[in-house]
Amino acid sequence: MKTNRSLHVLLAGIGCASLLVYVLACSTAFSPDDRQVLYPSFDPQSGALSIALYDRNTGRSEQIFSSVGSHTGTNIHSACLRAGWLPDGKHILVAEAEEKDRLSLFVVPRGGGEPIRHIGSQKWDEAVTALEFPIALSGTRIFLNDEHNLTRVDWVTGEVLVNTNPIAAMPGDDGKTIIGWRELPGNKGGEFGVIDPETLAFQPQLTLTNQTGDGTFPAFHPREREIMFVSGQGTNQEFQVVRDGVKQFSRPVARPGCEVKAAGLWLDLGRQKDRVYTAYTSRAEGQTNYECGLLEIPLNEKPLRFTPLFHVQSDDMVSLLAQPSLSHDGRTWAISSAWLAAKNKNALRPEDCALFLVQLDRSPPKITRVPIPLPAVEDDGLK
Amino acid sequence: MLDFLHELFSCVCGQNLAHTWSPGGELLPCCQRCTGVYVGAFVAALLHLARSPQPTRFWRWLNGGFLLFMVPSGFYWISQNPELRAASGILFGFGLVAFLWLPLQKSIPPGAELKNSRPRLLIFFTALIATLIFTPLLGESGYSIAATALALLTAGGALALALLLAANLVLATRGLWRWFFPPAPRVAA
Repeated sequence: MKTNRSLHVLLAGIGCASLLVYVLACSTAFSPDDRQVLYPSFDPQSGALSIALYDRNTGRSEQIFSSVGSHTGTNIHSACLRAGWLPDGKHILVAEAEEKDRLSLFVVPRGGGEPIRHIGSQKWDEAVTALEFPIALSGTRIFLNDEHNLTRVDWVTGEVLVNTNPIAAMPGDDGKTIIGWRELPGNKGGEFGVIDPETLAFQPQLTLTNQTGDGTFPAFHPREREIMFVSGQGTNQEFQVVRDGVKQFSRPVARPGCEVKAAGLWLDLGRQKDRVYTAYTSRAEGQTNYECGLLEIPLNEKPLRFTPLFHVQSDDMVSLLAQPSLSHDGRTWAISSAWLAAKNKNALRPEDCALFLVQLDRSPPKITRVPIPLPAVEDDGLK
Repeated sequence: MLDFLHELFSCVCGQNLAHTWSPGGELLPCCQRCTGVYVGAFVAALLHLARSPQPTRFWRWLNGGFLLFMVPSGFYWISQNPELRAASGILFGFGLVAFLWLPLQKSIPPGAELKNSRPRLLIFFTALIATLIFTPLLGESGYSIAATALALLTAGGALALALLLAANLVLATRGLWRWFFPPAPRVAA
C-alpha cells in the first residue's frame, strides 16, 4: 500500500512539474515570433541595406539577407526592403523593391540549413507601394499592394493572382483576417472592410467621407466596426476613434513647448486595447534637431507618453522604411533607425543608428539599444 | 467575458496570434495548444468526477505517454498544424488530470487486482476522441457561439487544474507536517 501511495505522490509531482514547465515554456519559447526581431540594418561589406535578426534571448544579431547580388549593375545604392515572419515561425518573407517597377520575393530560412528561395520577381507599377504596410498574410498566401492592383502570391506554390480593383490590403490583428481599404471616386474618402482571401472579394464595412490626411494610417477593427487614425496635416494633428461613422473619441497630438507629429505611418493597438503606439518626431522651440521615439496615445484623458529614442537632422522620416512593430504579446515595441542612414548617412549620429526595443510594461519604459554599425562604404543612398 | 479571460490567460499563455483560433471573429483567450490543454483537462476532470478509473499499470503508462508527447510537439521537433497543436494539448490535459488525481483516490489495499471494465474504458476513449475531433472543429467554426463554448470549456479546465493543484498542495503539506511532527502515540488511561 505504501509503495502504491509513494508512486502516486511521485506521479502527481511529475504532473505538477509538467504543468509548471509547460506554462513557463508557453509564455516564452513557444512563441517564436516574439523571441527574435527582424530589423533593417546594413551589410557591413557592401554598405547596402539588409535585414538582420536579433535574438532577445542571446542578445546576438545576425545578417540574414542583403539586397546585394539581386541587383543589376553596381550596388551603389540600396534597395527598399521589408521583412515579415511567415506563419510557421521558421521562415521569413523578404520583399525587395528593385529599381522602381519590379518587386522580388524571397523566403529566407530562420536558422539556416536551407537555401534562400526566390519565389518570384513581378512587374510592378510602383514597387515601394508593396512595402508601405506590414505584409498581409493568410495561411500560405501573401497579399501585396500596387498603385492600381492587389496581387496575391502563394509562397509555397508560387501561384499568382492579380485583382485589378484598387484595394489596399493590410494585415488584421488575428493573423488571418485581411483588411481592405478602397478609395471612393472623386477624392471623397474611402471604405474599410475585409477581403476574402480566396476570391479577393471586398466587403466594405465602414465608410469615411473625410480624408485622413497625410497622417498615420489607421488601425481598423472589423469586428467592432471601429477605426482609429491620426488626421490632419504637418504638426496640427488629431487622433480620432470612429465607430459606425460617428466620432467616439478625439484628442490633439500635442506636446508643450514643442512641435510634434505622429510619423509612424502605422498604428498598433495595445494589448489592453486602451492605447495605441506609433513613432513620432518632435522639435523643441529654438532647436534644430528633431527627437524621434515612441508615442503612446491612451484612449482616455491620460496624457500622451513620449519615449525619446534618437535624434535626426530633419523630420523627413521616410516612414516607409521605419517599419516599427509591436510584439505579439504586446509587451515590446521595436524600431530601427537604419532606414534614416540608408537615405542619407549624415542624417543621424553614428551612436543613434540602432535597433531600439522598448519594454512597454515598465514605467518608465525600459529601452534596449542594439547598435547598427554605419557602413564605411560611400553610396548614393536610397533611390 | 472574453476580454477578461484574455487578460487572465495572458499570465500562462504566450497568446501567439498566429496560433490562436478566432471562431466567428472572436479571438480565443489562449493559443491552440493551451486551449487543448484546458479543454482536455475539463473533460478528463468530468470523467474522473463521474467515476475515476483504476490506476492500473496500463493506465499510468498511457497517461505518462500523453504527457511525454508534449516534448516533441512543444519543442517543434515535429511539424504541426493547428489540429495537431490542439491534440498535443488535449492529451497533455488528460495526462495531467490523471496524474494529479492519483493522490486523491482512496487507498488501495496491497495486492488488490486493479482493472478497468470495458465500458469504462470505452467511455474514456470515446470522450477523448470526441474532444480531439470537436475542439478543432469548434475552433475553426464561423460561429461566435463556438468561441463562447470553447472559452467556457477553457476556463472550466483551468479551474479544474487549479483545484487539483490546490488539493495536491494541501495533501503534500499535510504529509510533510506528519513527516516532521508525527502524532504522539496514544497513552492508555
